[in-house]
Amino acid sequence: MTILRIFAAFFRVGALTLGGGLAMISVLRHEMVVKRAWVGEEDFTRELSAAMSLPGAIVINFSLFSGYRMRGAPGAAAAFLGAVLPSLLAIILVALLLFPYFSHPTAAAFLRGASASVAGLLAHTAFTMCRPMITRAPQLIAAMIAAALALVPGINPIFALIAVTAFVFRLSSVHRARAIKRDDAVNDINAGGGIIRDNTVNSENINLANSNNPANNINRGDNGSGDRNNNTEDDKR
Amino acid sequence: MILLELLKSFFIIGAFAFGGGYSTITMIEHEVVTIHGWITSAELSELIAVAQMTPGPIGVNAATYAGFRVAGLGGAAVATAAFTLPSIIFCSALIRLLARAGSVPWVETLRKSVQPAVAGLIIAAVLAYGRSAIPDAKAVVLAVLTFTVLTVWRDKVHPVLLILCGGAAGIFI
Repeated sequence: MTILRIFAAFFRVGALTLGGGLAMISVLRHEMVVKRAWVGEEDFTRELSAAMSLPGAIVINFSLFSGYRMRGAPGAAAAFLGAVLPSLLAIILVALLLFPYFSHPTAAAFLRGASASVAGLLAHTAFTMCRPMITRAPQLIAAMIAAALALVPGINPIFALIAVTAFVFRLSSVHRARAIKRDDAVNDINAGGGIIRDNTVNSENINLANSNNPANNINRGDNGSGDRNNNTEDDKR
Repeated sequence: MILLELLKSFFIIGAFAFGGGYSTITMIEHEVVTIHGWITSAELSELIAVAQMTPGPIGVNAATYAGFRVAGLGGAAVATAAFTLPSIIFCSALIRLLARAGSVPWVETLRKSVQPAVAGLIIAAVLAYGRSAIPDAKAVVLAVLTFTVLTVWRDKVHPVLLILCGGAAGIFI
């Protein structure tokens, strides 16, 4: 595929897909994986999950990764421009042509109704996006604290983001350190003899508890990636 | 210099836009409405509604629109470039690592640690938006109907169709 075709593919999907960046992802999958076979399913999923773990609009990050893999830096630039330009042009057109009429009574009534529907849509999107992110009680509490902080006028939501992230990171590393200590203690007992059968049962129990704890899976390649794939599957629905 | 202010604001928002556009809504509101007063809170709600009906990611739409209102076409270009610049920086820094290894351990750790906060910001965005978009009982009914239809017939009804129905209901009911 040429640079121009990469640009055209992203531009067309960008221009024809209404409803935000996440809606574009499923159309891009259809276009690139199913229809044209430019990308394998595995590459697509890997690039999508990389795009989601970095800051920035997901489609923009994805366009950079995907364009780069297909054609290097020029490919990344082409995909990026293809993804950004439809959005830029659409908003400029709306701002130039439509916004002057937004105060017209009929237009205002339309916007009021549409906004109410969008509130329902946002609630639905938030629900589907947040569900895979919050799997345990401490995460729910952290999310609630972040939401409350972000809603206080005068507090920068970026501060809420950093503070809660630091707190979660600290909590999970303490968790990890404790789990390692516990494993070591069990190993010591096993090494020293004692009632071996009971200890084996104990250590199995503890290991079971540990593998259920996502904080411990962060550095474990296989478990981590399985977990991540689940998340992307959920995110896309 | 207003273009520099735009550049700074949207660069910062872009650099902390974890989890995509929805988590940035409260950040955009803080920078654009509370701190700088570039657009009003009502205009931001209109913009979010419009962004759901126009192509492109919501963060890019918001940057373009705020930039346009503040400084015309130049402002739109600067704000959009500023919002996407962190993406370009982070992606080009990590592109080789991620292409080779599939995942980078510290990026995974960051991703896991940031998730609860991102979820919180998304929830806050929904509440903040709902506060201005749902002023009366009619709006409550429309919002609940939309939510219910999307939840029950997931993937079968196009969201933009529902928004248009909501708009029609706003005119005729």
